[in-house]
Amino acid sequence: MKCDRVKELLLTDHADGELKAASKESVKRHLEGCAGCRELEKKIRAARSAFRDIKPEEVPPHLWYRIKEAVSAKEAKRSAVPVDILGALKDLLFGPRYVFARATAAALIILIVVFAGLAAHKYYTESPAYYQNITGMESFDINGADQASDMGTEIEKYFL
Amino acid sequence: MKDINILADKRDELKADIDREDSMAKVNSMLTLLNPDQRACIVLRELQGLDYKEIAQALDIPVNTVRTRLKRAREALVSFARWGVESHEVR
Repeated sequence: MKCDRVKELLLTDHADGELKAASKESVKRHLEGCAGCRELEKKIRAARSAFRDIKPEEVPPHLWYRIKEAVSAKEAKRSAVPVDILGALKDLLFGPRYVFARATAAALIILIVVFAGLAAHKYYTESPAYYQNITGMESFDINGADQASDMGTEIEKYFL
Repeated sequence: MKDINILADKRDELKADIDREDSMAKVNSMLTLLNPDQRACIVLRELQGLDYKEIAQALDIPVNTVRTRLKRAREALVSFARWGVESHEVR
């Protein structure tokens, strides 16, 4: 086992007793022959010893009751409101968990505006009024009924 | 004689209190070196004695993330310990 791997294990699984027997043995063997890793292990033990000297604070039972009551009251309040659409929308847009909600809403609005603009542009540029405006001529529908209609010229006999 | 014994007991209690306060101060200053994620993992592991799986469940994160956070936290604590020793030697 190489030093890098041993150092990683010393900082994690080895320190926390989560190593399997085989790995534990490999680390032990490495430590016997590597002063650098032995030194690291010593430092880790020293750093952890401060935590061992203090015991976690005992939480008094009445505090647990108060926490439980507060959680139950909040849940009851939540279930009492059947459908809070405004609240849900507010949560979606301004809630801290939905970090992309505002970006998504902005992107959707931009998309709608762009597509609406494109559609309007297409509708306008294909309109007869637009054609007449830029060419000064009245448009005609070459595929429409006008083409088939007889305009009374000689050439139509050969080409229509 | 009885008074002497009572005084000795008081002295031991006081010493234990002072030691405990020292350790608390040391742990507090060590915890300030860590970011909130690392601090949560270290407290659950070192003070509450939870194993990796339990920490992962408590914080709703993968076990490997627990491992990584503990590793980074300990690296910071080891650096701090070294810094603490050096600054002590200078004094």
